[in-house]
Amino acid sequence: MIELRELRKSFDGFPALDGLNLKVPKGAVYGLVGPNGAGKSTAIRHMVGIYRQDSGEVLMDGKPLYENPELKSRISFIPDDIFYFPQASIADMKDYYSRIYPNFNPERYKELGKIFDIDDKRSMRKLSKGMQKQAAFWIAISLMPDVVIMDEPVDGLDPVMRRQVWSILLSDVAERGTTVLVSSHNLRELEDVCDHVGIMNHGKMIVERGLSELQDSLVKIQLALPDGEQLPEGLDIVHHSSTGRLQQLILRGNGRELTEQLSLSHPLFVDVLPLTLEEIFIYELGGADSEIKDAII
Amino acid sequence: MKSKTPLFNKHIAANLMKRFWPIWAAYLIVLAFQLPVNVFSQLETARYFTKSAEYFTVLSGYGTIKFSFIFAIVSVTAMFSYLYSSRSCCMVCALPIKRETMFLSCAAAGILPFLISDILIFAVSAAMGVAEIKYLLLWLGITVMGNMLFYGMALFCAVLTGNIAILPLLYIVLNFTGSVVQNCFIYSFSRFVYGMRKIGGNILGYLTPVRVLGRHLSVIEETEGVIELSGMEFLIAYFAAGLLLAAAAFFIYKKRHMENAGDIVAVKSLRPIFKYCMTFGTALVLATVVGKLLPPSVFKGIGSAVIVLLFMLLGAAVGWYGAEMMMQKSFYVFKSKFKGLIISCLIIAAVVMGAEFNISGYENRIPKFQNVSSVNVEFYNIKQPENIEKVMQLHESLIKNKHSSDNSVIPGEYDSFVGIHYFMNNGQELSREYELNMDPENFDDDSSSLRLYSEVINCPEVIKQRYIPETPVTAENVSFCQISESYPSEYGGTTRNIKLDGEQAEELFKTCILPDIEESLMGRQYMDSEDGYLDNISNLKIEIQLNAEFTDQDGKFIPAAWDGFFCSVDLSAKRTIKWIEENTDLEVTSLREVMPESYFAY
Repeated sequence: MIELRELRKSFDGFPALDGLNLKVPKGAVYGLVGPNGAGKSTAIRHMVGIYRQDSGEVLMDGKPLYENPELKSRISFIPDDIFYFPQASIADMKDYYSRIYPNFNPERYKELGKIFDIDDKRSMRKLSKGMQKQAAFWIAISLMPDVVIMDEPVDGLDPVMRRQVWSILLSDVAERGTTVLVSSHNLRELEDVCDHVGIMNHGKMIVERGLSELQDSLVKIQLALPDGEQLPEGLDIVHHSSTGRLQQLILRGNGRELTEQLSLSHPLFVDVLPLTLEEIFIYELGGADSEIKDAII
Repeated sequence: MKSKTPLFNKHIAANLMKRFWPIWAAYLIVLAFQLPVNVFSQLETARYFTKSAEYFTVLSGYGTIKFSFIFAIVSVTAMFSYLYSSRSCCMVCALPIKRETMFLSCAAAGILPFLISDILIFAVSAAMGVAEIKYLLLWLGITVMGNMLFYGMALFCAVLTGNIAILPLLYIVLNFTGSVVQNCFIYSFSRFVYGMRKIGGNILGYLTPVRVLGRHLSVIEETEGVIELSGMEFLIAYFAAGLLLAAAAFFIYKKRHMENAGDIVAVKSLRPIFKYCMTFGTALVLATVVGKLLPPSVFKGIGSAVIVLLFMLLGAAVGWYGAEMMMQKSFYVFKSKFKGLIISCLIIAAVVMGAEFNISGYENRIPKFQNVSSVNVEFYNIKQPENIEKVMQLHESLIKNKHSSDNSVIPGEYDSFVGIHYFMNNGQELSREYELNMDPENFDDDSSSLRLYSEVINCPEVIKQRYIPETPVTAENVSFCQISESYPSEYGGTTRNIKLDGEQAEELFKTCILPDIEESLMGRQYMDSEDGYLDNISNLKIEIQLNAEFTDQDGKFIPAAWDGFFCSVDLSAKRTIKWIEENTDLEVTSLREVMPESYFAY
């Protein structure tokens, strides 16, 4: 549904995006992750038509997105730092958006008002940050978008509201085929909701796959080898550590195939453990000079 | 079929107009006071003028232009405030609205309330019968043009910068740069370019609309109900320029990168221009400021050019790195590239030294006699060929004696200034100003500049301009005439006045004073350092006050601003003295005879 092709963008000579390729399938819940300064927010701002790229393409349904009001009217964007007009209430902001976005649904707005339970006559600037975020979700979802793009969306929300928001979004994904792209550092949370993941670093896409496919392609194996036995050749080792006889390996490949390969070394003990998204993130970026460095303090 | 994108979004515009309603309310109130309230007030209080409501109506239109200057930038800052913060910029640019639509909607939201207010006040004034419809329409036209002129300029500034604090500064700079640059250049370079006037010049001044309009727009009502306007061509030209700037703003906005919100210069390609403008601008300003602070004696000889150059180079460095600091938002910029600064400094040095060594021939330029139609010396306009030739001889002498003023023993003690401004037959003009060395010793030399200057300002053509009133001296016009005989003393002295009636005043003026002036026997101006004043001027003064021809609505004469004749009587004015001796008992003697001894002790 949304595609970025060889996207490049520089700010005063610094390449924020350096040939980024990204594809968000229709109906996917796509998690865009990366270390600080990877270019996630920059990529998102291209996807919502704020920035104009230096080169490359930003497409939605195969059509250029920049300066395309028809396509942009189907996208709801929730930034990390919400902006509202000074003195405006939630209702004022709702009125503003409702007159610009053609698909705004007033009934939905009313229904969601029961869930968010904030008086929409209150001035936005008098709300807490969390409540402002809630208000942003309230309005964004009422626009009945085909695509929801969120940059650090649930920071500031309490756990109950966080779950509530995700519940609403995922039900839209299921019922309406809404596509969701979320950028966040809360990988534990993303793991629960995303079905696609893209890991960025230095303005490029490092890994982009379905989450289950990603989890199948990188495994953690704990094993103990008898004295004198070595690991077999040909293993794609991402990370290797040992405590006494117990070795911990992060390997690329299928768990079953790797177990069979390791059995050639007659291990005393072998255990295949699934990696969390956080661990995948750490070890994938470890290959890109972002390994955790031991610090002597 | 693909639907056309609308160029105007009424929701965006309505939202902006609603949010910023205090601006429109303030403008409406100001306008209401400018037109109907002001006109009625002027008519009631201006008892000494026979000016009509139409006159005050047009005048108030000119006054409204000054308010447009302020309201335009306030309005644009509000309408485009989203451009100056990353948060608001992201929010607005993520909306499903094309850039041109957003620009036009915001721009319209900022100007429509002004235009509606203009029309509203026009309609109310017409309903109240403030003035004839023709002049109310004229007021409306002037006001609308003033609105558009400054609004266009403000729009242009709004898209150039990404910083809301810089926007009003940029607006002021754009409005006044022409005059400021011109004045700084003239002030700095006149320190060492011989003959350059210390003030004046018009070319860049036309880039300052507020000043030009203030100077040229005027309305005259010589006869009641007959209004004459002047300067409207400037207003129309600036109005057109305002529209062009608004159009330019539109195109720049479409290309502008929104990530530049917060930057001093939002358009990347303009950053070098900003840097060089700051460099050269600061160079000129610093040289001007220092020139005003240092004593004039510092600026003598070749040292003056060197001093100006040094401060210009320092100013260039300040401007260069200051611009870098503003663009990079950091004080630590001294490691950044400075090749451009070096080039700028070389250009400045070349210009200054080129001017100092007169490479262009500016200092020696005197027009050909046959090309000159008239020349101004100080306030006097000289047209007679023999007098123009005298002025040119004076000019040649001043150029030849360039270094004598530089070599004054005590700089400034014997110096005065003389300005010469030529009007050519082909419409061109040439203007110069020189220090005139007033050392008394120079007066004895017939070819000295001081002597030649004295001949110019004491020719009959100039004496007449100095003394002869515009109002004819007739018995009917004379409101007051007296001849004063004074005897100064240490404690003030005594004066005896003899009053003359209208016929006597007319006879004295036409048969004696005018012919004496024609022969340069009366009205001579003595230099401060010139000998002969006490011996050649009598203790008598003649004063003739005249009625100017103004009447009120009832036909009654109203005393005008003073017009008349006031002059000391030269002892060489033989006709005037003879008349005084024959018709009064006043004693004619030289000033030297009547001055107290204590005067000569000093």
